[in-house]
Amino acid sequence: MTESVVKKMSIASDMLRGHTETIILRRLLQGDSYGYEINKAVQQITGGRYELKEATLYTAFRRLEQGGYILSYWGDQNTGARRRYYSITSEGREHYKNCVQDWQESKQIIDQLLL
Amino acid sequence: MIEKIRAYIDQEFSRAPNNQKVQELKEELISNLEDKYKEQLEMGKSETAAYHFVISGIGDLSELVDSVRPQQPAMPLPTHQERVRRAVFLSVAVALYILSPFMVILFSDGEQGSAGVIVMFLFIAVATGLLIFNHMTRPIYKKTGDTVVEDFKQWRFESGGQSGNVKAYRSFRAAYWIIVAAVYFLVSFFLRIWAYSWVIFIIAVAVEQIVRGILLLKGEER
Repeated sequence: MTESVVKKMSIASDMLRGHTETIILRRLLQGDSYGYEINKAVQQITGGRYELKEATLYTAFRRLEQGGYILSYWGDQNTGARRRYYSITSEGREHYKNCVQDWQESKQIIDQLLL
Repeated sequence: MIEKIRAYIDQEFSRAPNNQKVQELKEELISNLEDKYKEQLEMGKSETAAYHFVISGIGDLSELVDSVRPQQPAMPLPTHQERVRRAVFLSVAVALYILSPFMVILFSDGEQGSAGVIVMFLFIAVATGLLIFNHMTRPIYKKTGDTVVEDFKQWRFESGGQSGNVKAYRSFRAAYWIIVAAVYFLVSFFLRIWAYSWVIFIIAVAVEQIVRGILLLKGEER
């Protein structure tokens, strides 16, 4: 991997990281889920082009939970290891809508300015 | 290898306090990392390769670790409301002490001589109760972690912070109560007012509080 490719990727992931919370909320709209499952879905949807770092993912969980946008609960232990599941709250749905709106606006502006 | 992942997370969280919140976060992280590790093995990776893949995907955990560390040591400063409540309790207690001997006079007019004394002791009991309650409910700085820093903070809190003033106040108090006791006996013997002279002690408490207040105010000005 050349230096310029590495640089390009880090810029792109910097931009993407700013939307980690919205990405998580979007996944939770599909139903309750846990950390690894969400990250796998992110990988699958992007065709392996993007993956969240665990540090980023769980920091975002904590922040979303503190904001009241998601709730967490421990799943049953029958499946082996205990898993912490997250579910979106009504505040979370509202927050998601606002984030998407913000994104659409900035996307338009960037398109207008760059293309 | 799973043990190595666990050890890595333990190491990363070594700065965090060992409370339930942190334990849960670590458990969550480790169980998710284990899933990832097992899936890498199923995909045909070697144990070492899977381990390195998992560890390199974690990223910088420092922000996450910081988020579960106690922010500011919870040093509860008395709110305005609380201070007012304390002042009211103290004033009522002192007032009850002062009023209690009058109850003897008030209620001892008739034949029932003992009623006045009973009311007097009732007043004293309530007043003492208020003082004890006031003292017991004073916020105490609680340690948030078992570190030397926390111990130092607690020690500083207990010793009141301004060391110079505290020393002055302590020596003042030691001499003060001996003088108060001496004045009490002198006044009582010479003026023969044993029935009332104990009020000196209540006044002495009030004066002590005032002196303490002045010292604290001076300390804050500095």
